[in-house]
Parts: sequence; C-alpha cells; structure tokens
Amino acid sequence: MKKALSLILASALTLTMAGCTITIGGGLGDGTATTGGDVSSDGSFYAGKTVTMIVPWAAGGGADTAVRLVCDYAEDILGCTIVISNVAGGGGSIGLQQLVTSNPDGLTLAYVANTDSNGDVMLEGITYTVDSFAPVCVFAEDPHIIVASKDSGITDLASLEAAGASGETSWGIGGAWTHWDFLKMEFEEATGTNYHRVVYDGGTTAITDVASGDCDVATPFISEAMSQIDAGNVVPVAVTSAERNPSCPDIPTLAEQGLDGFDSTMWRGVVAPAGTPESYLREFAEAVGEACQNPELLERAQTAGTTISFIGYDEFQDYFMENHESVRSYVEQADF
Amino acid sequence: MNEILMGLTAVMTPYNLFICVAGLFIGVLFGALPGFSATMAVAIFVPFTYSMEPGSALLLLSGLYCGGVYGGSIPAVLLGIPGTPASAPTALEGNALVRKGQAGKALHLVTLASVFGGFVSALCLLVGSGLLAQVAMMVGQPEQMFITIFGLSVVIMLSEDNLYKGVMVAIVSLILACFGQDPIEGFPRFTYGFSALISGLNVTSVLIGLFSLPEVFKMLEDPFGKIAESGKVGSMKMKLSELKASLYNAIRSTLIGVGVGIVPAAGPDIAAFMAYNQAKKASKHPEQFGQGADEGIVAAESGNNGATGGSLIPLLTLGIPGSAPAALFLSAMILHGVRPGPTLFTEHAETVYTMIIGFAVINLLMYFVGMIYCKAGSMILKIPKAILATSIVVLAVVGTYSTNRNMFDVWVMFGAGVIGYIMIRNDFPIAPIALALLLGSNMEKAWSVTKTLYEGELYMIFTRPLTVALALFTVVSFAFPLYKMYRKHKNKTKAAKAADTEVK
Repeated sequence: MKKALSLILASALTLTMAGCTITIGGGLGDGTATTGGDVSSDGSFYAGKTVTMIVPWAAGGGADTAVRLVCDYAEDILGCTIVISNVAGGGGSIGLQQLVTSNPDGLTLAYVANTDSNGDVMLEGITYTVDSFAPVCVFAEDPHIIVASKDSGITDLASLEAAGASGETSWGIGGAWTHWDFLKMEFEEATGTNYHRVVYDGGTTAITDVASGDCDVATPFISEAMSQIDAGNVVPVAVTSAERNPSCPDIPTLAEQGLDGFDSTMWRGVVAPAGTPESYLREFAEAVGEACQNPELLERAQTAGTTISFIGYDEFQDYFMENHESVRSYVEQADF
Repeated sequence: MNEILMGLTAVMTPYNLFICVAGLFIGVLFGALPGFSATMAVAIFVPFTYSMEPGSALLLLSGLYCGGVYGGSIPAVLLGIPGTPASAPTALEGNALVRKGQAGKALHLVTLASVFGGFVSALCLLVGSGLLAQVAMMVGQPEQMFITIFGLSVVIMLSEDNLYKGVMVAIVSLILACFGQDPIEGFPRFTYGFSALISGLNVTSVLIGLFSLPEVFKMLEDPFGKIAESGKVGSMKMKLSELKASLYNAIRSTLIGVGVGIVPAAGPDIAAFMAYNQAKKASKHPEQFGQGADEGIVAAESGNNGATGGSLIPLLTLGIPGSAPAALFLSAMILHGVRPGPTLFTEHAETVYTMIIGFAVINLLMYFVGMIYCKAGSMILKIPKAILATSIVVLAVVGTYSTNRNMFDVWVMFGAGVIGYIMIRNDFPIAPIALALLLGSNMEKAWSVTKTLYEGELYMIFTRPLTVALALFTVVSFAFPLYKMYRKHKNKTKAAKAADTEVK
C-alpha cells in the first residue's frame, strides 16, 4: 500500500516536472491518457510519454526486427510512444555507451543480448561495465539449430560427439565473440569434444558452406536454417534450447538426445542506465510481458523466425548476472 | 510459364504499378543526393512495408533499390560526385562531358545504359535463376577470395598514368580496411583505444567524404562561378548510330554485372569498376577514358544496374545478401514469411515471380522517371557554386549522421574529404581507395575461412576447378596491363633510338 502510494506520488511529481513532454507525447498516445491527472491516478509512469529505445545494431537486422515487433505491442499497453533509434557501430558499444551516459529517467532504454555486458573485456576502449546497466526484462530467446553436411555422416548427437573426438571436424560459427562462439564452447565443455573453429560472417554463409560440403557442422538460427533443411541440403541434428521449437517441432533437443539440461540460446532483452527508478522498469517489464502473450505477436514473431520468451524483472536480475559471469569466464579461458 | 503470367498480372494492377513508380521516384532522389544512398532508402522504407502485402512490399523495395543505384549517377555526371559508390567510374567520365557542354547527352546515355543493364539482369534472373543458383552455390570461400583479388587488379588500370601512386594508395587503403576487430579472434586492431573503431572505419562515411568534399573544395576555389560556365546543358538527343556502337559494350558490361552480382561478396559498386575496366581494355580508344568517353559511362552504368538483378540470385536462392541493400531485402522478406532459400521458388512462387517480373517492369519505368530527374537535375549546373557547395556539405553531414546516428562517422567523413582533396591536388587517384575499402574486408573474411578450412594444406584449394580458373584470371588481369605498359615503354625507347627512320 505504502509502495503504491509512493509510486503515485513519484509519478505525479515527475509528470508535473515533465509537463512539456506529456503534452507533446500525449497526442501520439492512444488518446485515453492525455492529461497528467488521468495518468497519475492509475499509477502509470509511461502513459503519454515518448521512450527512446536504442538498438545498437543497424536497421533491418535480427535484433532490430525483434525489438520493433515487441515494441509495437508494448507501446499500446503502456500508452506511450516508443521511438526506435538505431545507433550502430563499434560492435554494439556505441549505442550502449550512449545509453549509459543518458539520464536514468526511464525514458531511455536499450536492446541488450548475451555478450553485451562483457564489452569491457571483449572489446577495447569501453568505459561501461556490467554495473552501468539496470536489467529490465528478456523478450525473446532464439535457439540455434545444429546442422551437419550430408557427406559428414553426422545425423544425431552420438555421431556428432564421435566426430568431435579428433578435433578435425570443422564447426562454422557466424562471428567471433558472439553467442555462436560461446555456444560452441559450452557444447564442447558439456560433451568433452573439440571441433575445428571456422569463423564466417553470419549464420547463412556458414550453412551455405555446410550445404556445399565445404564445412561439416554449423549452428545457424532458425530463420537462417529452415530453407536449407526443408530442401534437404543439410542434416538437422538438434536445437540448442531446452524445449523443442514450434517452428520446427520435428527437430529434437540436445537434452532429449542425452545431454541433460543443455540449454543455450541467444536471448534478447532490454536494459536501462543504472540508477533508473525500479518502479518504472517494473512497469515497462510488465507491459512487455503482457505483449509477449498476444497471439498476434507470437504469430508474427514465428513468421519472422524469432522465438518469443519472456523473463520478468525479478528473475532477470539474477539471470543477467549469471549470464555475465558465465560469459566472462568463457572469455577469460578462451583459447583459439 | 504459368508463374510468369501470374507474376505479370500481379504487377500490372494499378496499385502495384503506383508502388513501383513511387519507389523509383524516392529511390532516385536518395541515390542522387550526395550523402544519401540506395541502402538508406531501403532501410527507411522497410518498416513501412510491414503492413503491406508481401508482393507489393518487395516491389516497393525493388523500386527503391533500382532507383537508388541509378540515381547515384546523376550527380556523378553533373558534379563529378558519385551519389553512391557504384557510380564512381561514371564520375570519372561524366564530369569531363559536362565541361564539354554535353551534359544532356551524358545523362541520356547513363539512363539508357542503366535501363538496359537492369532490364537484362531481370531477364537473367527470370530465365536462369535455377542454373545461376547452382553457380552461386559453387562459389565458396576460396573462389570469393580470388574474385576479390581479381577485383583489386582494376586498381592498376585506374592508375595507369601513375602506377606507383595508385598501388600505394590501394595498399594503404587495404591497411585501413583492416581497422577494427580481426575476423577470427575478435582482436581489436588499429583502434588506438577508441571503441568507435571496433567495427572498423565505416566505409560509407569514408566514401561520402572522399567523393563529395574534394569537389566542394574545388568549387570553393571559384565560389561565384557556375559548373557549366556557359550555362549550357546541351541537347539530350542521340543518334541511332551512337546507340548501335554502344550495344556490344552494354551487353558485355551487363553480363559482367550479373556475374559479379551472383558472387555473395560483391555488389553493384565492384561491378561498375570491373565493367569499366573491361571496356577500357576492349576499347579502340583507351586514351579517351577519363576525358569523357561514352564507352566508360555505358560500361559503368550497365554494369552496376546489371548487378542489381544478379545480387538477387544468392539472396533468393541461398538467403545470402550480396550487398547492403540486399541484406535489408532479406530481413523484409523474412518478416513477411517469404523465407529465401532453396525452397523459395516452390513455396512462394507467386510472390517471387511478382518480384522478378516487377524488377523488369521497374527497370523499364526507370527510363521515364530518370529522364524527368535528368531534365530537372541539369538545372543545378546553373546554380552558383557557393550555394551548391554549401548544400552538398549539409547533405553529406546529414546523410552520414543519419545512417548510424553516430558523430564519429561524421568526423571520419570530414577527415576523408580533406585527405581526398590533398590527394587530388597532388595527383593521387582516389578511386583505388573505394575499391580497396569495399573489397578489403571481404577479402580478409574469405581468406581467413579458406585458411582455417584448408589448414596446413592450402594448395588443396587448387583441386576446386572454379578456383583454378579464377586464379588464372587473376594472374592474367594483373600481368596483362603491366605487359602492355612494358611494351609501350619499349616501343617508345626503340622509336626514340631509331629516330626518324622507324616511326611506329
């Protein structure tokens, strides 16, 4: 009760201070929350405001598509306008740098994925650390599909493990220091195998080389893999998530094939600058959670090849730190 | 056949035709404004297509793409500033024609060559996509590596007048292309502690600065003059015989364009340079190149527009984008559930054939849209240089900033412009920078994959027939111009020795 009261007070205060923003943003909202009075009475902070969502990658990429999709629905729930700002360059660091130096007022948020919190060890000249961020929520978890070339004779986990004994089987990844690299390390650690690392400039290039037989194994995302799988040019081995994916229900998981508890996905989430009031972030996370249950969004996401999966505010706090530590230890042990 | 008719009826609805024309108008504008590009036009409009039918969405994007690639050549002719890197070779010739008072003719030629290249590439896509997909599949990493090296051989031709300066520029630019994380270990190179350099120099920003600003500085040397001193644009009329003379050149250049487009690592820009190179080799008057040769314009423009259709082949059949705009096409297609790859032509026949037929129709429509722009565009020759120069700088800054919303890129753009001006004033060619930056990172990626795949037995790449053929091409393309220069040099000394008796 006390909390709710303080929340109302805080939002009322902010609304008075940011009166200007409200009048501008209000016209763009859904029309129900145009005046400050209405907004504070239901305790909503975001209604009628304009939020900047920094996507540190170019427009039209996988990250951009997923963010736009979710924000499209979250916007209606929050009654605010979300402006997507693609600040690309520096391996994602320029956009995140812009985030951590912006006001922690809840109106500037950014897209984040597995490896971003470790920019200070993986990249160079990065001033932000994991403590510069306030994690908000996760909205998608994209599994990889392990595919093998037809000549390799690999069809399931057992034959994949057998091929990984000598260290000569080539394993194509879509980019250095990305989740592709960490997935390979996680798999090798879990099975005690070792593969020959080949770095491509994307999952599609890798799977094309698997289809032509130049490379033995690759781990593209679903959107990159399905057409080659359907055409029968590559052999699907497993999906890397804990459960089967609705886009390809026939492909078994690694866990089903005996690798207990193996779950490695590229998650996509939202962060705010550290110091942003928790109540705002909770409101935002809840709206995203509600959006993630919208069947229309789920259908559009599946068409676009993204797997919607929501992790709420509380759970994400721990998940974010665990993931940070895990990636950090892999970076420090990495030996190419 | 059935699918083709289906596609044709889908394109020929008033709504879809309107979409094509609208896409072209916007695309040409983006291409023509220095600092703005075909990629930006497509990027801005991808979100707009979310609510459209997949077929119409792809038609709009195709119109933007084709229009953008063509549009870049209008300022290339009029101001010597290529609106997009794909028009850089056109700029070498077009500006000389403007000074001769033949701007009208040059623009008409550019338009015709572009339409021809684009239309033929659409036909290739329609008729040969199955076969060409096989070729695209055969082009693995070792092949791509040789194609990029082959592309670099164009540098020699671009700098025939001063080989050492040209090669030096290319080598320095290849080192610039190494800035940023290395592709295998992700180790930051030449970043000097700047996080902004982690992904390397933004090639688009460098090229905007390099091509636009030196022309601006040149204009400022005489701020009150006009580009065409006499204010004369020249007639747009052309003789039939002139067209006939260019036909063979246009066919060859288009085929080069389509071929280059198929290669995943190369797009319209590389195609334009390669076609220009071949045209100069085949020309009876190679000395006219750089002084306003019609052949050069025709080759570059049919080459780069030929690559627009070609680059759709790896995109549609393998899902690999051959150029930056093609990458945006890819995401738009995926979002509409039209997933590129081997199954595309069977599962989404209607959408794909609508797009391919639309591509052909768009290229024909481009003639009319293009001529409107050319007529309007030639007015800028009459604007005082001071005003023109200011507008170009504004456009270049806005264009550079809006691509990534990143101030660092703007500084890179200015830096490149100042260096470019100093180079031009000291007779260093700047075109090799574009070529080396565009090819450098692809060459490194292809090389690093080849090296890891064939670790310890690199000679095994010569068991791939296509690699052997490309390797031979590469060697010849480097050796041939050098041999020709050597012979010319020898003839000259011989002639000098033999004095008047033996005149060649």
